[in-house]
Amino acid sequence: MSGLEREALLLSIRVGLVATLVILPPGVALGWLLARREFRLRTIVDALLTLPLVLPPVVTGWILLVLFGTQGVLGAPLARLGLHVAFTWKAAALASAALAFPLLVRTVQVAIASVDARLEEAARTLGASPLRVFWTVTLPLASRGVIAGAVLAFARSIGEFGATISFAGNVPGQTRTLPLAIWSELQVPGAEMAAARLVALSVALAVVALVAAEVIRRRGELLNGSAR
Amino acid sequence: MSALTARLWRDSAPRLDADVTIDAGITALFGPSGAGKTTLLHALAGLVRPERGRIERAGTLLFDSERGVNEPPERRRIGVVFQEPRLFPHRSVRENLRYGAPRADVPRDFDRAVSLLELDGLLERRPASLSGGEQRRVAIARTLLADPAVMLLDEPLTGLDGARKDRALQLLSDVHREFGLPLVLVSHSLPDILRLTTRIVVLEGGRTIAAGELLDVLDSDEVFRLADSLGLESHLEVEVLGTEGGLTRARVGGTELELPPIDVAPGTRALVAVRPEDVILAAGPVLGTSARNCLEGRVSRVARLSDRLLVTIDVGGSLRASISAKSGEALGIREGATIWCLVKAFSFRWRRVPGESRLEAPDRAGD
Repeated sequence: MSGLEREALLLSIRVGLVATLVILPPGVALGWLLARREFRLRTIVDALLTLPLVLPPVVTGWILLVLFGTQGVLGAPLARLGLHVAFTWKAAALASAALAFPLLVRTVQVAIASVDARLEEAARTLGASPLRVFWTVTLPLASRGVIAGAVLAFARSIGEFGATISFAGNVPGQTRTLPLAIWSELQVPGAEMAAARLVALSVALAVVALVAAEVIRRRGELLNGSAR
Repeated sequence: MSALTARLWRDSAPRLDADVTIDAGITALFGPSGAGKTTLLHALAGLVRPERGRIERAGTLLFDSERGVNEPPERRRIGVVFQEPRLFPHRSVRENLRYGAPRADVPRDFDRAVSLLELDGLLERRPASLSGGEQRRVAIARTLLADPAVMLLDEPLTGLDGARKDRALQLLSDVHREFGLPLVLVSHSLPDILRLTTRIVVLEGGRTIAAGELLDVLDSDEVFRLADSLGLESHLEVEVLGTEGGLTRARVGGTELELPPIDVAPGTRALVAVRPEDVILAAGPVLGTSARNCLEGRVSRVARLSDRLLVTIDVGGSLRASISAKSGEALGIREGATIWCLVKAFSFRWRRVPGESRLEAPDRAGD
């Protein structure tokens, strides 16, 4: 593996992990809210969640740039605090997170909706607070779906291209993740071999992620007992 | 002091108009299916919110729409054994039992509940590997160990028959005795209920239409109106005189009855039941039939049900007879008339017999 290849691989992993971990808590919370509660802003939340799925990622990247650019609504105050987001690896992670978030929320929502609410009622009558019911009944029984959602989010992150290139740019070692590296090689005549090596790395990373998810799921079932 | 009192209304579905008082004993919530029994249970437990009303448990206010009090289920100390076991599938039986601590944390209580409900060999198993009956017993023990002040059971006898039902009834009465816990039992079967209690609340369409001791409840006009659709039997409170010639003699009011044999001491007061369609009415005393009982009585009520009449006769207790409208005309049935009731000894069934070794005397075959 060349230095550039290793750089792109490690950056992709970092961006994917950070994006997934950052959206996991709010994603699970929002998924639970959508599955279990009726609230007034529901239609708006539903629309906002669908938007990144139907918009071209480049558009999402552009919106992020407007928000977080040095002159952006959020970017300007952050810049004054010395925090520059645009065109750094943080921007790549943020772009990935924005695009993976709806996938995570929807997967978690379906998983929680399929947990028998009558078990939650029973837990309440046994003296458990709503928070305890969530941790001891809802989440363990939805764990399969939550893990699936996280894997999906990670996969979406390491595959992200459009939003990243418009919001984070294509800076080697900074924001050039595997997809961006592959695209860059394809721009160079005669670099097909280099591109193919990066494609192989991408495939390997996806396989490792799937296997890791399966291991986590099995370990969870050993702890929790089979949910089926 | 009452264990639980509630006055609840809900105008939107599921509707409620309930007035319930639960004492330290066993109370039965009785009514046809769809009568709102489960809804009432869930409202008491805090799982369904009434629109107006008040729930009080032994001096503690749990719900009061006027004062804006609505304690969540976890703070009500009202245990529920649901119709389905609702065990946590990802936890072992032991973990299910311990879920509701605090009582599960007291080893003596834990062991007592486990042995009472015969769960000794099952503690490390998963709910999915248990039989339906075992799951129900785990559910009862789990609720018990959460230390409720009142325990509500939704149709705990559904789907059980014969020996298994006897065992379940025995178990419930043991739970009540051993843990000194007021029980509220939902059922649509009066004979089942009567083996545990005679304190009854009758529900119809979400409304409590009668509450109190069985004989008073069955006599109320509202329940009388329902009697036919519920298939209610008449119940007589009798005093046992003795057994001879294969039949037990007993007294009700001023008359004597001959009943299926039962082995209890003379002087025992017990309940017997008879179906309205097993009572034959006659305009005068009839001799020379195989029916062992011919009771003189006064017609206290006549209700017309399409092509039939449901006649209540006071014979020292209320006896109901179901006859065709034509017979009613021929006999001149009207309120206040004197009439004779013919009933075979074996048409009577023992329903509640204190001091008897079994909970119920043998029923007619095929019943």
